[in-house]
Amino acid sequence: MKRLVNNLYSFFKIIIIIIPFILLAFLINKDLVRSGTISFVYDFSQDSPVITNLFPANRMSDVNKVKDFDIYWQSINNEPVYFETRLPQTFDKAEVEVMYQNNDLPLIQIGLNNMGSNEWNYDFKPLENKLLDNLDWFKLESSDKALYQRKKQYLSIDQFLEEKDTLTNFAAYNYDIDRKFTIPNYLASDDYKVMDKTLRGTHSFYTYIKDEALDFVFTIQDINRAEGLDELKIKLYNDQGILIYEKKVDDDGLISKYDPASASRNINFYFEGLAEGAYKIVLDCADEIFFREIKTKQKYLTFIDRLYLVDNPSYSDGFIDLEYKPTAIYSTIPRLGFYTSHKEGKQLIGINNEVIEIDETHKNYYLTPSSMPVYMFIPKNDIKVFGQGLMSLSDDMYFNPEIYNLRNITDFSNIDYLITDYIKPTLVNGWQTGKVSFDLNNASVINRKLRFAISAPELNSLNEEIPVLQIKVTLTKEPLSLSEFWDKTFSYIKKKLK
Amino acid sequence: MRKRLLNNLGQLILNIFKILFPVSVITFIIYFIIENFKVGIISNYFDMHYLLLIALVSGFFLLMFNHKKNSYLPYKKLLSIILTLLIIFISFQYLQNIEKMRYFISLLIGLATYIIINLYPSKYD
Repeated sequence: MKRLVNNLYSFFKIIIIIIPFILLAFLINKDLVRSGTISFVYDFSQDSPVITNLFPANRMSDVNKVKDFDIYWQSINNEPVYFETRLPQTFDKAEVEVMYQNNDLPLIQIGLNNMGSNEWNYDFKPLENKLLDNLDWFKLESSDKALYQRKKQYLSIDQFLEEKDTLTNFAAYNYDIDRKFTIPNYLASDDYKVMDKTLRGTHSFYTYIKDEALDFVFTIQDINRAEGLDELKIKLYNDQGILIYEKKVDDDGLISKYDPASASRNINFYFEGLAEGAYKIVLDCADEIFFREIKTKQKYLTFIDRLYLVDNPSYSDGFIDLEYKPTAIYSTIPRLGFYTSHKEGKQLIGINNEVIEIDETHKNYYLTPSSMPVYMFIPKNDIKVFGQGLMSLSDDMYFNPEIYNLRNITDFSNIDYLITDYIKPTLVNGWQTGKVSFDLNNASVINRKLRFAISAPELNSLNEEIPVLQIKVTLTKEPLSLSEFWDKTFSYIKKKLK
Repeated sequence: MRKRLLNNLGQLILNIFKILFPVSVITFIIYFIIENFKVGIISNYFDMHYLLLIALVSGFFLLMFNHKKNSYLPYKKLLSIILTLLIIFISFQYLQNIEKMRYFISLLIGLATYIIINLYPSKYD
């Protein structure tokens, strides 16, 4: 009996001493991710060591539990919200899968924080885009991409991709296509065009250059309604998004909020020797700066995402020479937003054959036009028109250089094919499941963590919420062989001992 | 016969706890050091509080039931100090929601633990 007990004791002693070593080897092996793929899941039942809770907490509801079931969920009440995930190794791709519910929001997107000069540098991709889901075209879908065809021409996505270099009538949404946008048969203009609509604050626009100089003259005034300096930076980006020139315009010298509006100044923005292609100009300033006139020789000028029209009596205290004429806008923005800060901006706005009434200040109004392109009629100005897309002050100045890099669906009059890596979410037991993939080449990794954002641009205005059931992050890289593992281990130890 | 079987079983369990206690404490310290070299290598996949729990349970068992004077284990005071520190560490971790108050409350819990352990009469005190 005593010998049996002694043997048992020896057995347990060996097991207890060996287990920590085995466990350590298992944990290191798991951390190395030798298979190349690892997944982390956060289901709100308890805090996860690998995926943080959604934050900030004041934009989230409490965690709720489904009665009598071991199912937990939490709602997003305001956007955006963020979460971080641990990165045990260096990975090439991250796939984020979210189980959620969505009633009426047209767009929900996931963003990955990338490296850049700004702290907020998110690359957003659609988790759900109802506008695209409603596109009534033939659809071919695989696990990671989809092809929409106006008429059924291709039997497979690969067939289309083989022939795409010969095509000019296709667009790419959220799909990496290495193709430079050019306008065939473009001829530069010798005459100046003058846009005398007064615009307020920061604006961005595209223009096109071929065998000509970039030639703009901006007439600006500072309304001086706020304290401090009001500087203007004019930035020029090429079609790769690279900043190639920046011009700084100093303040008018009047910095008190009791100072009158400044006299108008002409700012020349002239650049020679540019290669053919689309260019983006950003007028980076506060709402104190008003653009009274834009004069250019360029044929095309298309505004990006925002137009703030201010030819309205609400600004008569600053400017006495505003022309209170209605404004017509040509737009291909699929979901339009409107906002006014003054009662003088309350009005009825015509959008093709639809009308939207702006009857409250400091409130966002939204409309999805039933057809595109859109001709807007804005009788009183004093309105901010916004959305994800492009618009111009006349249709002959409009062009779309984003066609191979769309940020949202747009006017597809000249397009017969749309390639995208957006896959419509699937519905299971009342919960949508959507997936978004990211390349991690340019990801910002801080303290060995990736940061993601969940955004729904209209969530705050519509007082909606997004219940979330589960977040799953799958990280992938090249598998690690045993020899590579030893090389990595030795180089890691060497690095730590240095 | 039955009494001898129970005695032997009891002695076996106690001997297992005698190994379990130092192994769990040393493993926790080593894992803690490794975790400091690379955050997440342990904690991503394994909750180290389980090791602390094993150390606590085995430590208390030894205190309550190990009355052999010539035991090679640390003296009762040293053992009680180790257990007190573990309790303070665990309560500090789990009381994160109450922020600054947790410093005070975890110390209070540790002190109460130490007093209770040392009030428990030992045959050889």
